[in-house]
Formats: sequence, C-alpha cells, structure tokens
Amino acid sequence: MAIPLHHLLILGGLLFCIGLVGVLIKRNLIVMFLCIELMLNAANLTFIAFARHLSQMDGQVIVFFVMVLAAAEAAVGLALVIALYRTRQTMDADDLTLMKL
Amino acid sequence: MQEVLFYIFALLAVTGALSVILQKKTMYAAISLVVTFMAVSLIYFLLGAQFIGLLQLIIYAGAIMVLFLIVILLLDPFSEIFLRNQSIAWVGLAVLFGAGLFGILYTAFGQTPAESVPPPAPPGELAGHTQSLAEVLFKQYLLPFEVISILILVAILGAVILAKKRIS
Repeated sequence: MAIPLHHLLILGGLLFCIGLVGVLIKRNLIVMFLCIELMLNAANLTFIAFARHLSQMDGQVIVFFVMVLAAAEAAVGLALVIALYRTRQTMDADDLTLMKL
Repeated sequence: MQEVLFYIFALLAVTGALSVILQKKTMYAAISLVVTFMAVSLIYFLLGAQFIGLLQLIIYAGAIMVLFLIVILLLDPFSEIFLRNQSIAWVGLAVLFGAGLFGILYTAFGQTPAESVPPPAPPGELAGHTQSLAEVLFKQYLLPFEVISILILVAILGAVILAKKRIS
C-alpha cells in the first residue's frame, strides 16, 4: 500500500501552479514572497517523491540545499522589503517603478 | 491507511495554498502558509523522509515563517491586499495561465508509461534514516555543503547591512 507517484507529482504541480497564480495576481511584496516559498515547497515535494520512488538519498540532500537557499532568500528579501518600506512607505510592487531610492 | 492519510494531508496542503492567495490580509495569508508547510511536512513523514520532515517544521514553519510574521507586524499587519489595483482581465488571464500549466503538467504526469517507472521501493532499512542521509551529505556532497554554508553567511551579512537604518 504505497502512495502512487503520480498523485505526489500532481500535488506538487498543483501547489506550484497556485503559487504561480499568486505571484502573478498579487502586488503586495510580502504576499509575493509567500507565494514563492510555496512554489519552492512544491519543488521540494517532487524531489522527496522521487527520492522515495528511486530509493536514493540524493533527492533529500537537494531538498536540504533548497531549504537553506529559501532561508537565505527570505532573509535578504525581507531586508530589502524593510529598506524599501522605510524609504517609500509602500509595499505595492506597482508603486516601486524607479530603481533609484 | 497511509494512502488515506496522504489524501487528507494533500487536501489540507491545497486548502492552505488556496487560502494564501484568497485571504484579504497579509497576516492571514502567512498563517495559511504555515498550514500548508505543516501538511507537506506530514507528507514527508509518510514518505519516509523523517529528517527532512522535521527540518521542514523547524526551518520553514518555525524560522522562516516567524521571520515573515515579524516583518509583517513591523510594517503594516492588517492592510487590505486583496487584488488592489488589479483589472479583472489580468486576474482572469493569470488564473487561465495557471490552470493551463496545471493541465499540461497533469497530462504529462498521466502519460508516463507505467512500465518505464520502477515499482515503488519498500521502505528499506536505511531509506530515510538520518544516518544514510548524513553519509551521502558529508561524503558525496561535502563541497556543495561547504559552499552553501558560505552562502548563508553572506546572506546574513547582507540582510543586516540592507535592513540597517542609515544615519546621515
């Protein structure tokens, strides 16, 4: 009684597509970040599914690296959001059209 | 039993993900994402990846989401974010694009020939155990491990410098 691989892949694809739609329709920087984290998680889920399917550990190691990358990305990204909010008083991506602070 | 649990957790994960993009306030979207992270972590446990499941709980649902929540509290916790300044046409186009991509993925996964995929391996003695993960991580992937530790050090320094208040 194992979980079929197809269903894991479909769940990963569904989570990825929801995150993608979120990035496209949202304009709040923090919510866009949340959706990116969701997409990273969907990719992780497929890595774990294949690691289980092929009974190799490499997929789990890559998920470990992706988690570290996500932590680094969240730290730098949120620091950028704080710096932007301090100078512009907005978190709306449509209001941030100039590169000059 | 395992399959029933998987479908429950999958439903929970998708519900949380939909709630992230449908909630009106940033804070509620972040809390919904925690639900998704926890459901995905439970799926990792079902798949025999206990260590990664625990890391998911500690790093994602713990550290990263606390970071997000602190930043949301620091800036504007309950601002209205629901599709501000968005035209209906753009939202419809984005949803159509996402649905189309999911359709392509669904057909691609469905058309995988069954004989080319090896049968799911039984949870072996070592599969998913922390010891075998550590042996792969610290022997075969030692150099990437060291490089990524430098990356996270640089990210910490960058975050401190970026978020520092400039005194002019």
